[in-house]
Amino acid sequence: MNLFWLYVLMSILTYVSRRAFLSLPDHWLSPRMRSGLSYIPVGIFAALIFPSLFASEQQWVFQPVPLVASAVCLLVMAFSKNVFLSFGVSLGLVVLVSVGIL
Amino acid sequence: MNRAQSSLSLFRVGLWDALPIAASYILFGAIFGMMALQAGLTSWESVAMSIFVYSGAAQFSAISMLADHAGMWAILITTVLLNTRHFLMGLSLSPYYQRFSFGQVTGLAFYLTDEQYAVTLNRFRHYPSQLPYILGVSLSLHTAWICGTWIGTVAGQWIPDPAALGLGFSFTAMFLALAYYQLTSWLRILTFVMCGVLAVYLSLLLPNGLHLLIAGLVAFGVGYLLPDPKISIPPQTADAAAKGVESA
Repeated sequence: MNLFWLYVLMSILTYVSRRAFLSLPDHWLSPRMRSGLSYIPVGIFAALIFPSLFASEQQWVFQPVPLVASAVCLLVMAFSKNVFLSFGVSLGLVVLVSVGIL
Repeated sequence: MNRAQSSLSLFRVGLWDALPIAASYILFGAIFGMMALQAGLTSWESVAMSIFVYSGAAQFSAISMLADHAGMWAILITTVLLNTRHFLMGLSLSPYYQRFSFGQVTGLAFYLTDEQYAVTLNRFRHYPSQLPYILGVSLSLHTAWICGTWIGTVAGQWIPDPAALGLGFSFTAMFLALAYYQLTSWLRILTFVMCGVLAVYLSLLLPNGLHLLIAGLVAFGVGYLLPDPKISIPPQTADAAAKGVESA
């Protein structure tokens, strides 16, 4: 296989998917449209988070440690509103359990 | 001079906000580099893929398929499927990119990854979309991905297994912390849970990536059919810019 053309075509396909809707005409952005667009991150984040917790290699999984860490992450966010702290505490918890310290 | 300092300051804030994800990018880039060598690519071929393609999901799939001697078209179709989520990410960012020129949007589009999307979107909740900030986040993540790939190709045998250390959770943790700010009403929380359950179900059935597209479309439908009266034009004024900088 010609890697040069593979890279070129993969780059083009990836770029076009990113660029396609990044600038919309102003008149498309009605209040209703803006409301719909503001909900897209809710769906995207849900689709990034939930499968990483409940699915692996196209199989349903139950992973208590990441689930507890996720709850901790949201609790720390609720109290501190600090993304770095929530990220660090919850990830730290998973790492400590994984290496057997906790 | 002040303008230049302000741009530099915003660029630095972008670098700082991207730091935790950049650290994860280095590690996962190293895993990619190591796997790419195993799939038969040279060090430079692996790094070139990270420079020009710059899409973790597509790259991991491609080297796995290269190792299995898959054809070019199969790899390209997989790339398209994995990238469908970017259509909706771009769509939801479009109100914030209205202030940029055609050339700037065209340049910034290259850097739209899941993590760049999450970090910059969080910033836009309170501040205008500013080019130096987006560049700070984008360049640090891209650089981290390229450096990670190179490290993986030269020192792959010493890279710790992220799964054994639990570091696979790093992206989930960051997405969760940033998703928290999106959950501002019961309808949004309900949509979040509904889309999450749907995404898990679909991820068991569909090729990678499509569940993100469908979950995003469902969420868009909820927001479109039940308009949120609190949604306003993103803050793009000089006053908002003058508030200063804020970490993610």
